Amino acid sequence: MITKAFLFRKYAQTNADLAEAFGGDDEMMLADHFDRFGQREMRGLQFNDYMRLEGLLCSDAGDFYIAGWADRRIISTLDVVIEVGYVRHDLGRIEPVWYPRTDVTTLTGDTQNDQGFLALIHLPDMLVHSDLTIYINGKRVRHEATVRWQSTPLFLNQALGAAAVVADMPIGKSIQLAEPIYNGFVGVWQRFLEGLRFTLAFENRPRETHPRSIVITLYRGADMLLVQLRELAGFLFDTDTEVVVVGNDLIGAETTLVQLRAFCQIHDISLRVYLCSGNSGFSRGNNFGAEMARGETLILMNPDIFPPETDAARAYAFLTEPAGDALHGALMYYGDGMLMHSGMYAALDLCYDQNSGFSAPVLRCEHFGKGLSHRITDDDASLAHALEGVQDDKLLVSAALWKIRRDVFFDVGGLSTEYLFAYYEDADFCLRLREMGIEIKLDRSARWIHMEGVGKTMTPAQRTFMWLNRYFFTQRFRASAFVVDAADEMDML
Amino acid sequence: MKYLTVALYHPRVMKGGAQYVAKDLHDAATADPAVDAVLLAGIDGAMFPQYMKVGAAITSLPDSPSEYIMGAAKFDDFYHVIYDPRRNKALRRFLEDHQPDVIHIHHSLWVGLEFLELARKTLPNVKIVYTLHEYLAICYAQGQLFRYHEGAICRDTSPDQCVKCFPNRTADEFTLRRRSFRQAFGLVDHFIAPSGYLRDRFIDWGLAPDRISVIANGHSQSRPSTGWTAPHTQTLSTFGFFGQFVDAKGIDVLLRAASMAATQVEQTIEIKLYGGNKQHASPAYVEKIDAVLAAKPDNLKVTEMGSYSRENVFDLMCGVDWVVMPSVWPETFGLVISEAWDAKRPVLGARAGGITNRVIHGVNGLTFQPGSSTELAGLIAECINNQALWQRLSSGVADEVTMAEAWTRHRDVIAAL
Repeated sequence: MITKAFLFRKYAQTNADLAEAFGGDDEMMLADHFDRFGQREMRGLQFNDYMRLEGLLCSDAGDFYIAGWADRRIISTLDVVIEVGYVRHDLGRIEPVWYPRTDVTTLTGDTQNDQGFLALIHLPDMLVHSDLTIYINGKRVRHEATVRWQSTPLFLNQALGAAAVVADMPIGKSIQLAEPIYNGFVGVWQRFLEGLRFTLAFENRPRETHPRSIVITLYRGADMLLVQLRELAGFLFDTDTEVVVVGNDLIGAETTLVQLRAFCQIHDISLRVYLCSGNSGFSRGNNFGAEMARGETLILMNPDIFPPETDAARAYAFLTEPAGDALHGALMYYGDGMLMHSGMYAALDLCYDQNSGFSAPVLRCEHFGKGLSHRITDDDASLAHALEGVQDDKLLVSAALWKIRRDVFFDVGGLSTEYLFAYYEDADFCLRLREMGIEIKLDRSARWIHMEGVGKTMTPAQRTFMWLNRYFFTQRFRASAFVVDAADEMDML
Repeated sequence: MKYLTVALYHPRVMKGGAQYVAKDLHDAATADPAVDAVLLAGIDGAMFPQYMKVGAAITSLPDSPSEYIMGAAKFDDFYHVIYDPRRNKALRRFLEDHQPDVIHIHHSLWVGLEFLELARKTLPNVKIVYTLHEYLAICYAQGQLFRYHEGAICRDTSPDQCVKCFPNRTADEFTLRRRSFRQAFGLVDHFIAPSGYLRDRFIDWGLAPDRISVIANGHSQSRPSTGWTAPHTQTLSTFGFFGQFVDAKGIDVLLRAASMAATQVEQTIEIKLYGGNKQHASPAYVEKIDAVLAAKPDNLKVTEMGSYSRENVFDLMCGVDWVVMPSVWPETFGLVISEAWDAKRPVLGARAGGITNRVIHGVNGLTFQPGSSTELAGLIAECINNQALWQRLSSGVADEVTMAEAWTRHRDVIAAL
């Protein structure tokens, strides 16, 4: 027979305020207090042994990323208060993302609950101050007398990098956690985009109208731009095609602009360069370039796209032939001449998490033609064979090289800025366009080289925003008639 | 004929093989009464600020009214472009003012491949000749076609192989680099290679065979034309190295071989090392040499003689019996061979690059496998006290192509364009 008793005297002795209010002998009052308040206030608990705030990033725009762990058998909820200088922000109970932490499990012995947490918090109109204190469940868990507030882009990068602990988990687990993280980050992202500025930094032979405009959005480096423009120069000049370059976070912009000026002395092309005050991402950068473009036809072109060394005429014909109402893509080849892809499609898989019993559909983007033994110099018969697996009704085309009428581009709404930085926005555009009844065409005679053959190691931040964009893409299009069921993929190559 | 030479550096700014060849040809052209010759030397303005004048992209070389300096502050050493607006402006005007019929380019370093585009645009009918002095267009590793990480000559210049020398770059970047050079070289009317080996490498790389001719670098003879007999020591045991003290020149191979040979003979073997730029040798290379020297036999004498110049090289050559060229990289021509032959010195040369086109084993010298100290040791041992061999090889040395002959060959090439 096990008996159970509330230790009301110990409760009073270890809580001086209760002893003063109720004395040490009023068992009923003390038990009532414990039931109503004491347990939630975690009285008598060595708080730091059961909860740690390990990570804190904060931006001067009022964005906070907090992360840590808690033994959820003892600390099941988090009530957060943030004091910035003389202003107290009481957030009440927050809903963090809980994720598995094996290191914590080893410490606490709890294998049933996810004990790591992270949360994104935004304090609108926060007044920046040197002093910052954070309380969780009434306990002071962090005090900074001299806060180093981060600017939003730095905060975004570091917070996204920190969130890679979730992004790197198997998709069946991580996608369950994506929604609050996506919502938090996309808020920061949208506020960041609103504050960006684009500046006209260089122009050569600008004219009011052109038959077409090539928009090239750069991120950080312009290593290949001059080589690319040198390749295109003859075509650009002969066809009165303008180039609009948008530089996101361009490193060495001053040198690049001087070099472009020298380049235009030799190749007198129509060129404008806009520099963004930060990294506006692929969508916003290209949308801005498209807004500035003066051609009826828009060509979106990555800075690592080149015509083939031999028989460039067919590649250039792709740029000059009328776009009509459709979106057009071209065949992409690696630098070594092998087929990179002949368009892409979105496929639907089931992802799962056996620990929680969760399963749900998730989208991925696949490419037609990847891995085929077809080269850029092969004849048309070889190409026809290589394209046998392309399914036109599911076809999407990569924004590495697009041709579209400018008014159609904006009718579709441009590239979505709901995707952070890059990835999935071109597939999004294609699917929205298809759902509007607009055609997507792969120009089967246009062969271009995409110098992106070698996979680069992705930073933690890149892994996170790619994952979040995949989550968002899935939410938006998992029910689309234009995505492919994984069971039907076998012949799609 | 108005003849413009475009060089990397000028010997008065910085000494070097390519600039000597360019200047010699310019001088030969100047001496030709049918030619109005001008020289324009691209230089690193930051390294030689004394040749730069504020705001002036092109300046004159003092006391040389037909020779000019074209400085630049930045150079993209991967794609070999400069793209400097002020320089472009001055350069176009320079070309318009001088109106050359022929532009002979000797380098893309500090000249920039866009020079070709600007020249072609400014003077659409100008004939452009381009002498390839090394493999820079093919090889980003100092243009040496030598794989330092393997210690071997490179014969496969595929982009993925280049990445092995430069792991931080991608194969695509090397594909693009090759493409950039090829595109720029498309503006050249004809190429000159100083050796058949170099020509073959560029044909392998993509140049059409009929676009590239071999003309050996001309040589101005220092040897008295009469009354001179080639001197040598009694024991024929003095070996000379002439060249830069850098990794690919194989000084370590020579010293290891000399150490091995010294254990096989009683005579003292003397090695005289002439050259500079030891500061550019890698620490590992210097360590390797120090280790050989520390363990060398007593009958091996090694002396670092310091740097040398064109003016005294003939006398210095006469102070050694044999000249060793132990290069492990494929030399494009081998200027040292010309200098050795001027003094009738037999050359012990590695079978690497342009050396193979010139040193014929048993006829005018002896050859060995690049990097093979063992084979070279055998040759050194064979040379010592071997009067008959020395006489045979020394008399087998033919006179080099003179500057006048080289210039005539160039004129022939130009006339055929």
